[in-house]
Amino acid sequence: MTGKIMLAVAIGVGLGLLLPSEISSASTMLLNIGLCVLLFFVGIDIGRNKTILQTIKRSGIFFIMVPLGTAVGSIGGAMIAGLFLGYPVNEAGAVGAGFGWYTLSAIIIAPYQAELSVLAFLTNIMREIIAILTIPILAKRLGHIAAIAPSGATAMDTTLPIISKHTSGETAVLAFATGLILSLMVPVLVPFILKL
Amino acid sequence: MMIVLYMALLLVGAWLSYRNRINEVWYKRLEPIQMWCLYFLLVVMGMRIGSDREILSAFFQIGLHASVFAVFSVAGSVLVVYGMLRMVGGRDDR
Repeated sequence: MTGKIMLAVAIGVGLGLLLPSEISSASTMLLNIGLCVLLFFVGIDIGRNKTILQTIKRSGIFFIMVPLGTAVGSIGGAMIAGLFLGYPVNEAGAVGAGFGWYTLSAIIIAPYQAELSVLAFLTNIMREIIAILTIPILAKRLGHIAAIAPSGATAMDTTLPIISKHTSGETAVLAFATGLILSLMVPVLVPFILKL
Repeated sequence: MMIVLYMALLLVGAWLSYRNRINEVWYKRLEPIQMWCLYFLLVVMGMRIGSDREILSAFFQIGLHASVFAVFSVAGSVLVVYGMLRMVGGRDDR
């Protein structure tokens, strides 16, 4: 899956090298329309999970605390990184608001600025890799719930098996709820923070 | 405005699916459509990158910046969540 995603981007880069630069204006409209269609499908995927409400109920207060803490920390951490590297606060925050969802965050940012879109894409890929590597260590050192934080939105799918393996069944339920809530926040927060 | 539209589309899709308004046959058709929509968007995104020579020449630098962003984002998330857990006396399930 990741290979196909990389291939799609690589094909696009290749086409971009060959085609005239005037395609940029047409690509903005395509991105906006395509994104609307994609988000509708994402909604359908999320709604398929009929046990959403029970999952959230089982998580208790942590179902608010963990995604909120993850979001605040991610956006804040990215803003601090942006200060060191000379990025505007809103752009840095938007990158952090991807929460590991590298395809959607990059696509949302692409009409705004292509370079920032690449940054968001690479940052959130690396976030997923860091999450995979650190979950086992964090689960031992800081506890099961803190081990969910690196994953961000990927806690509901890609990194869920790793979380489940190194924590507990209850924590896996909380991880899924966290990933779900953060996934819903990405298409809202990224454009909102960009506009600040 | 776009934010409202994105949220509305997400919620409409989720509601339709949750309330079983979408036939199971259609689910099977929607999955490949969704994937191809994603690939198409990634190709278009790639085209924007490829048409900008400045980005291509700065790719290595962008990659370095991305690694810094990723580390800070993860560290921020972990610190805030751990801090909140300590404040509420969260369950120690190590």
